[in-house]
Amino acid sequence: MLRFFLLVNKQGQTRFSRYYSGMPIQAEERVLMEADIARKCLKRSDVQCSIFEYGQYKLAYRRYASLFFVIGFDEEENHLSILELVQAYVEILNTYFDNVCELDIMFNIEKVHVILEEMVSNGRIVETNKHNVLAPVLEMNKASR
Amino acid sequence: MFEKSLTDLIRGIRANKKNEQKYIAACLQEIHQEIKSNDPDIKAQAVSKLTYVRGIPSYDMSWASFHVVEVMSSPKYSQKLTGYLAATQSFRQDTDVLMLTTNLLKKDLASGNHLEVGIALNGLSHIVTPDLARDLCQDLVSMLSHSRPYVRKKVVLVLYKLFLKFPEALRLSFPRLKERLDDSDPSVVCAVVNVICELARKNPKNYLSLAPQLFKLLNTSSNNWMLIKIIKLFGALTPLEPRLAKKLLPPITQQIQTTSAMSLLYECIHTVIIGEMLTSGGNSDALAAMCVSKLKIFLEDPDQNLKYVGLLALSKILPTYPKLVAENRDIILKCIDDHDISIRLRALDLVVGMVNKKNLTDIVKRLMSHLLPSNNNNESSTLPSTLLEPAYRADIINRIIFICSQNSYSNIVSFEWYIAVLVDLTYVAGVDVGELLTTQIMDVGVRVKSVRQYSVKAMQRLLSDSSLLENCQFPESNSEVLYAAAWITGEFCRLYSYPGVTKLPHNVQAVYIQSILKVYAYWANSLTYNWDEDSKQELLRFTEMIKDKISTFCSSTDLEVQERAYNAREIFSIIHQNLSTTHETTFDVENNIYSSTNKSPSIISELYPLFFSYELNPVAPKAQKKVPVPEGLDLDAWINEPLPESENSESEEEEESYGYGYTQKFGGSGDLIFSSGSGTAIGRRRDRKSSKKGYNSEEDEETKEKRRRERNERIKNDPFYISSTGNDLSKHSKSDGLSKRVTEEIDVDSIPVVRLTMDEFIFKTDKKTSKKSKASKKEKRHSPPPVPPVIYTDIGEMPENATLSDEEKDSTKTGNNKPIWNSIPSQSSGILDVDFSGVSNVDLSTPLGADEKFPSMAVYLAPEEVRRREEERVRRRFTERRIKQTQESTSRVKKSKSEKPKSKALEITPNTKNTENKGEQSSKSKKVSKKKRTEETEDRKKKGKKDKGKKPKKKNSISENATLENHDNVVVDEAASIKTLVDSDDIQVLYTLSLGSFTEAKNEPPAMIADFTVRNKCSHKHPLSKLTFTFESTSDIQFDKGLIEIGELQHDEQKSVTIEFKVLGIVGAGLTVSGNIAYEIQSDEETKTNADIPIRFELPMAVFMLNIPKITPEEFKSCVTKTADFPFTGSTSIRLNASINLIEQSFQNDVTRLISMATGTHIVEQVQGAITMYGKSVQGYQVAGLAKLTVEKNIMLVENEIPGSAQNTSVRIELKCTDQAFVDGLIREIDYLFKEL
Repeated sequence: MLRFFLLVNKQGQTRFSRYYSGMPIQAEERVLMEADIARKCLKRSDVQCSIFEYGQYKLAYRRYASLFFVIGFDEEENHLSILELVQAYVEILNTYFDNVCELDIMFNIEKVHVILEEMVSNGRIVETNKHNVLAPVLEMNKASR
Repeated sequence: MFEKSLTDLIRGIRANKKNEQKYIAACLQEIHQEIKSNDPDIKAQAVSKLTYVRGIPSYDMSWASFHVVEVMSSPKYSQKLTGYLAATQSFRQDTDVLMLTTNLLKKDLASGNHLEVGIALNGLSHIVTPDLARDLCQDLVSMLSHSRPYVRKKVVLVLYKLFLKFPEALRLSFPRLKERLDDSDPSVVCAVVNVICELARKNPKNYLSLAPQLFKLLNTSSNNWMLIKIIKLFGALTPLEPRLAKKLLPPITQQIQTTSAMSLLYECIHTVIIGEMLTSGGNSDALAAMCVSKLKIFLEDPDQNLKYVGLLALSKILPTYPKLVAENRDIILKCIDDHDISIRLRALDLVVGMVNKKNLTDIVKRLMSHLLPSNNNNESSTLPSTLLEPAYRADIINRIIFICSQNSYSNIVSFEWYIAVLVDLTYVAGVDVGELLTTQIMDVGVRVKSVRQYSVKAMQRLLSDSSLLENCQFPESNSEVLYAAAWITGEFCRLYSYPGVTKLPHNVQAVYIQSILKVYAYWANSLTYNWDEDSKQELLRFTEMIKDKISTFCSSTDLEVQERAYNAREIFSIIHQNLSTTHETTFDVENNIYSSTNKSPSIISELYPLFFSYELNPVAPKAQKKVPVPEGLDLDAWINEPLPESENSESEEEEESYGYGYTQKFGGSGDLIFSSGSGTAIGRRRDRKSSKKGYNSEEDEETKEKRRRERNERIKNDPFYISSTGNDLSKHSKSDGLSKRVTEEIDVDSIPVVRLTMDEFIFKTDKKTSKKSKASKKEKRHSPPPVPPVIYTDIGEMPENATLSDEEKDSTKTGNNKPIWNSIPSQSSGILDVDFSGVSNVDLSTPLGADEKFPSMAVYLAPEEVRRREEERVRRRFTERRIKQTQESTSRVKKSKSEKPKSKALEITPNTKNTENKGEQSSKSKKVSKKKRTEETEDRKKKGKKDKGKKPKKKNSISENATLENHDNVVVDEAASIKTLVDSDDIQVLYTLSLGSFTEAKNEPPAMIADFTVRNKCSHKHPLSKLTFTFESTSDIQFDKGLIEIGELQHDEQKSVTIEFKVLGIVGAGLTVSGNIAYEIQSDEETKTNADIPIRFELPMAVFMLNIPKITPEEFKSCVTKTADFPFTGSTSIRLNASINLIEQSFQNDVTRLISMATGTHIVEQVQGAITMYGKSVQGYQVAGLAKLTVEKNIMLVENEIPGSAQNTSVRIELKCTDQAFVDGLIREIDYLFKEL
């Protein structure tokens, strides 16, 4: 099960966060944890693998330009598929925003949420097909207008 | 306007990098204001901004929960989205406004817009609580058959979350969920697999029955993501069903060989390993070898991630195939030196498992080298800083000790080496592992006799190492090891001096002192063997010295150290005194008794057995179990009789005074009481009642009185003691002895306390220790023991009378369970954990019982809902009254006209007549009219069935004769028209729908009647048997009796059945009834074919319309002008393809008829190109409609000069209604009807 999905930039600022447990943790705890994770990710070099243990969870991260996409998950989850999920997510964002950058994510946080919501539900990966993910999102855009 | 948009806010934050906090605080102020705004747009924008600000850590938004709910309920799609997003981000399980969302969610889930349903479902999956789960589960389960795959997929996923919160739902909905495995849409199937996979991981037993379906999916699907899930799911199932493993091997093997997706390959290998497929399959060795060789590819890959997971998988295969793993030892050892710490740690996991006698030294050396600061510079530059991370160092040390000590040190060949390693670790550790090292050193020292000498030597070196003492204030220096060192030297006796100990931690000091005593005792005792003046002098001198030194510790701040120091000092001073006195006497009579009394003073030899009577040995692992239960000890018996009930009801005051009484007794009287465990407690309690008299008699009345007075004096100012009045006394004095204690006047002295004599106590404890402790192998050591050749005793100490025969089995069992290195700390409850206990306890193997039903709607209603209902009720009453008035007036008008229609539409006379009847009667009493109506419906039904054949003809005649007057009749007739439900080779089912009887109480859900006519049209003239109809109650539709058995149906026989149901849900578009028809065809003697046909039909809105008398245009006008009564509108337009000449006519005849048929309204007035309609539904909803014919010139077509159809004609229909859902449904039906045409 996925526990959380974070987007942190190189300055250690959280750009996006999504938690998949019934109880959102206390704000202070969350801040500390996110900062700690960002620090840990920044510390790692290219020669290191992008999966590491963090407390009782595992973290898988990928870095795209200035942004780290970090997923916290349970041991039982397929580690490689988590990394593939990150890749798929970024590809979809890239298609949607047409060359996504950090600003796109900041200014369209709702869309980023909606897209992730289509792909991951309750901490399970449910959809990775680019078309299937984007179709309802685009439809929503149309409906909002 | 002047509010900041979200984009403005973000820009602002970016622009104010320096004083971001301040800027956000100012924005929050604005948001506070905006969120309270009445403008939904501003409110939504505020919530959206707040959600964003919350994304920046440390801004709480729980205060805005209510506003979030407001935005969630916005009718605007984008605002709703914002609201739900805010809710998912900010709501917690205990957010109180969640209670208000139940109805909102219900409404959104029932929405016709699938995107809205989608957001509601997404939101629900985050905010669901047990209450929400209970209230919504039925809605969700019925949505499993939603027409949109998108919604079905989401529902399946939300259901999983629901099960976690409300486990009962799992049993109830699982059959429906299972059906979705065969869904036509792959993404729905994937979702179901996902959910089942998660469920199966918690309790796989329930899902074994799904194996065939899943197996099919495994073989057919090409979606890697789903395959991973399915394989994972099988991994959970195979341990329960070993046969499954055999079946799975071919497809999984094939996947392993062919797939190019690394994640799938990994999953296959992983499942093969953890699914115990290697132990059950036939050629499992080959498979295992294949897995390991594939994993080797992972390890050799330059991608670090693959390396990592490869090691992870190898560590799983290690317990079963250590040999295969060992083949890759070189690669694995290479990984230990990897740059990446996580890879290293995983490699270490493997190494831990690969250790054996031969390679232990080598591996430990390798690990130790990681701890040593690297000498060569080039290496240190490449190594990451994590090498020096304390956690990593501690981990390595833990592992070293783990691999050495596992299986009772079975891998260690030389314990001297091990002790040396431990000592080295003390120096190089650099982290605080002192405790671990201490226990290890002591453990080895105790267990392994042969190494004691060596370890004592090593410990001496440690003790005399001044660097340890100097650094002892840093925990990293591991000066705690000195504890072990001192203890070992003390216990195993080699003498050494201890300088500068005072700075050491207190517990170490305490052990030092104790050890000094021990060492001293041993040394003194050894002196006694050749006792002479020299040794005596030396002893004397030394005793003096120690005594002085120890005095320093007598003023220690630590209690333990202080007490021990005093103890030791006293002993030393006694000895010293003793020695010096004997010295004098021996000196005096030296000549006489020198030869005979060449003996040490007895005090010295007596000191020795104080410490060394018993050798300290390790206790056998099973010793505790082997303690025989002594005779007469019944563990099930009450130790204290449970207190009488009456005592519970008494107040706390009593409890307090109860306790008080006891302490008074203990402290005040000065009795010596041992409260050692339960033994004394029994006596105390039991005797309290029984020996009251005896105790009383011992004390004379006078002293008692005196004590009582003293006591009263003492408690007078005691704040913990509530004084009571005389009333209380009288009240309690009558009750039993226990409650007497309540009052202040309680006779404390009369509370008997058992006195324990000292010898009894000693006797008891003595007996205990002899049984429980390590005293079985008593070995009095009067002389220093020679070092025995034994290396160590494996069994350890056993209690007396231990039965050795039994229970050896379970010891072997546990012996098989090799200790496994826990690479990941036990997953105790983390902050993000989810409670699965409910779901994993659900049992799906037993069929659903009759009493298991979805819970009905919540008992509570949100305040706004209550208000809404109340308003609705009042509104209905008003409209009722008004309708009544209208009816009265209409009927008056009608009476005059009534002759005309009768003659015109002959074929539908019964209806017309009924309508007329009703019209007349309604003026008298509404109730009666309703009864009539029921009869009428019955009539119509019969007629409908009989006249099936005539139907088309009748239609024609109606359209021919279509007049204003009989339109209402047509409407009713059409609404109840016969439709075909099933028409297969064997069976034909027709049905009609009509309103059932209803009562005056208007808020009761409308009842409907469905009549089915079943005909056996089996081509081979076989009879149909066991014909049954089953209907499913959903959240919207409730069947009193969901099952109808018809029995046998001969060829061409026709039977009809009627079923009644209530419509509970919102009457709107898409109300459907679903169920099944099951029957058996007996084609010949042998063969029977079972058929199960799903049935499904929609409830058209028109069915809900009442057959009310026509209203006049004037009434209509006055009714409609009061627009407040018709707050909801809907509109649509229909294109007509009729030629220009016929348009007006077709509009007048067909179109209007169809519209009024679809809406169940009657036509009020018809003018050129427009009609008005009016109708009323059974719930009291009024519908007013206007249809207008518009003709537009189509320029394109005119240019092309195509005559006739040169105009684009359409009919614009506008409906006004008192209910939103109802009008939506009506519009939809009109659209639907004309699309069909």
